[in-house]
Amino acid sequence: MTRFILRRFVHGVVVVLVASVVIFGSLFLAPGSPITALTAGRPVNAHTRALLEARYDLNAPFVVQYVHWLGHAVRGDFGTSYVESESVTAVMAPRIATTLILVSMCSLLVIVVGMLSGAVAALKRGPIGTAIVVAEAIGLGIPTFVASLLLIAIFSVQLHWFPVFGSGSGFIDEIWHLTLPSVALALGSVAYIGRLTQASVEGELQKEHVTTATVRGLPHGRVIRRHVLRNAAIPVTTASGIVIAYLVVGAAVVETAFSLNGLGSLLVSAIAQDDFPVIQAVSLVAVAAFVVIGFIVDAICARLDPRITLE
Amino acid sequence: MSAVGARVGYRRRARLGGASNVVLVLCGVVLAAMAVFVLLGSAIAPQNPDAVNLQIALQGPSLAHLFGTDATGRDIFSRVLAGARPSILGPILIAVGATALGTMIGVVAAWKRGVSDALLSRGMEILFAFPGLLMAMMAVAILGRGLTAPIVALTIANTPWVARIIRSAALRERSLPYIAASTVQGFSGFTICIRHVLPNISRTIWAQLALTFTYGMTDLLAINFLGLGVQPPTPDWGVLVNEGQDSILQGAPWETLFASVFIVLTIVAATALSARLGEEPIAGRGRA
Repeated sequence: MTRFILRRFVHGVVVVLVASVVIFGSLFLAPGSPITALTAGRPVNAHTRALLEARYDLNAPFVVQYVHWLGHAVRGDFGTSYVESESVTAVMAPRIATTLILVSMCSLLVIVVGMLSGAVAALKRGPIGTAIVVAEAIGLGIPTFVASLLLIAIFSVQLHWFPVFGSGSGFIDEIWHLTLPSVALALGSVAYIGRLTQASVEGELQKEHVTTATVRGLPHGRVIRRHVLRNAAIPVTTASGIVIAYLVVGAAVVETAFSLNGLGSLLVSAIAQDDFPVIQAVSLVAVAAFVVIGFIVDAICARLDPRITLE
Repeated sequence: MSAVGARVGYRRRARLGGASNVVLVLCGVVLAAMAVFVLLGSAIAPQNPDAVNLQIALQGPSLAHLFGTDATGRDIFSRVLAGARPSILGPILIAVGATALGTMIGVVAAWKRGVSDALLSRGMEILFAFPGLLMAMMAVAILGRGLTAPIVALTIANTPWVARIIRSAALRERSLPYIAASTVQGFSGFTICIRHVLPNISRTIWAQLALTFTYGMTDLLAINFLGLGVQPPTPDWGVLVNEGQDSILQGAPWETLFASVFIVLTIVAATALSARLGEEPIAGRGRA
C-alpha cells in the first residue's frame, strides 16, 4: 500500500514537472516579443527596453529562465503580471476562493446527484429509471456555455430566482450567486457520472458473487450495499476524479458567462491580453489540480479494492 | 469478426438503454440537414446574414424573421444557417485529424508493444493532464486568435483518447488466432494491420470519429464563445450564443436560444450515432 502510494506520488510529480516544461516552453516559443505585450505595442527606447528585460528576466537562455521560474513557482511566486504590474500571486489570490467554491459545489453535485441518480436508475426500473436515462441523454448533449446562458435566461431573467452576475459578498450570498454557475458547470458531468454509475451497478448486479450472496440468504439491502455498490464504486470513483479535475478548466467558460472573478475568467482575460506570466501560472495550477485529484482518487480506489496496489 | 463487434455493441447498447431505430432515423435526418446547411447555408439563407437594420432590432420570431432579429436587426435564422459551415467544418477537421492520428498510434502501440508502446503511453499521460479546452486556450495564447490554433490544439488533445481505445481494440484483435495464422504464412505486420486489423476494428474507429466530433464541437464552440476563436461578424454558433447574451437581459433570448438548439441537436445526433456504433462517452473528455 505504502509503496503504491509512493509510486503514484512520484509519478504525479514527474507529470507536473514535464507539464511545467511544456507550459513554460510553449509560451517561450510564442512569436512576438514580451516587450510588445508589456508596452501594448508602443515604441520604446533602448534604456526602457533594457530595464524591462532586466525586470522580467527576458535575456537569460531558456533553461536558466525555466529553472528560475520553476524555483520561484514552487514557492508560490509566479513573477509579475505584464498587465496589472503587480505580482501574479496578488492577481490570483482574491480569485482562488470563487473558483474553489464553484468547483467544490460542482463536485458535490456530480458525486451526490450523479451517483445517486445512476444507482436509482439501475436499481429501480420503470418510469423513474426511464426519466433519469432521458434526462442524462439531454444533459450530455448540452455544452456548458449553452447551459449557462439558458439557465440565466430562465432562472435569472424570466423567474428572477437567482442573480444574473457577480460572485456576491459573504459566504451565504456567495453560495447563492454560485448556484446557477455550478449547475451549469455540473450538468454534463452529472449526466455522464449518472450514466456510468448505472452501467456499473447493472454490470455488478449480474455477477455471480451477487447471486451467491443472495442465495446464501443475506438481506437484500446488505447485498446491494456491501456487494454491489462497493464494487460498482471503483470505476465510478476513477471517472469522477477525472471529471472533477477537468472542471477546473471548464470553470473558465462558466465564470466568463456569469461574470465571476475566478481563476478561469482570469485565464481567458490573460490570453486576450497576452499576459504570459498569468497564463503560465493558471495553466500550471490547472494541471497540478488534475494531478493532485488523480492522486487522491488513486488512494481512494486502493482502499476500495486493495488488488489495485499489486499492479 | 464484425459479427463479434456487432454482438458486443448490441449488448452494451441494450444495457445502457441506448437509442432505438426511430431515434436513429431522427438523428440521421438532423445530421443530413446540418450537412445541407454546411454546403448551402449562406446560399439558402432567406436574407443577408450580415445586413444590419437597427429599426427592427430584437424582434421575436415572426413570418418575416423566423427566429427573430438580433441586437442590430440582423435576421437570426439567416445567421444560424450561415453559421453552420464554420461551426461544423472545424469540429470535422478535429475529428478526422484526431481519429487518423489516434488510430495510427493505437495500432502501432498494440502491434509493437515493448519500448514504443511504453513511450507512447507515457507521452499520452502527459497529454491527459491537459484538458482540451486548456490546450486550445494555450494555443491561442501562442499563435493568436482565429481557428487554426484551437483546431490544431484540439486535434492533439483528442488524439490520446482515440489512441487508447484503438490500442485496446487492436490488442484484442491481435490475440485472435487468425493473426497468428497470417504471421505463420509469412505476411508482414504492416500487411496484416492494413488488410485485417484496421477493417476489423473499423466500427470502433467510426464510433470514435463521431464521438470526437462532439467533443471537438463543444470545445471549439466554447473557444469561440469566449471570443478567442472566430471573430465577429462571422456567425459561428458559439459567437451567436455569446452575442445573444446581452439581448437575454433585455428579454430577447432568441439569438442564444436558436443557436443553442442547433448546437445541441447536432451534438445529440452525433452522440446517438456513436452510441449506435457501440461507443460511450469517456470521462474527462470535457464538455465545455
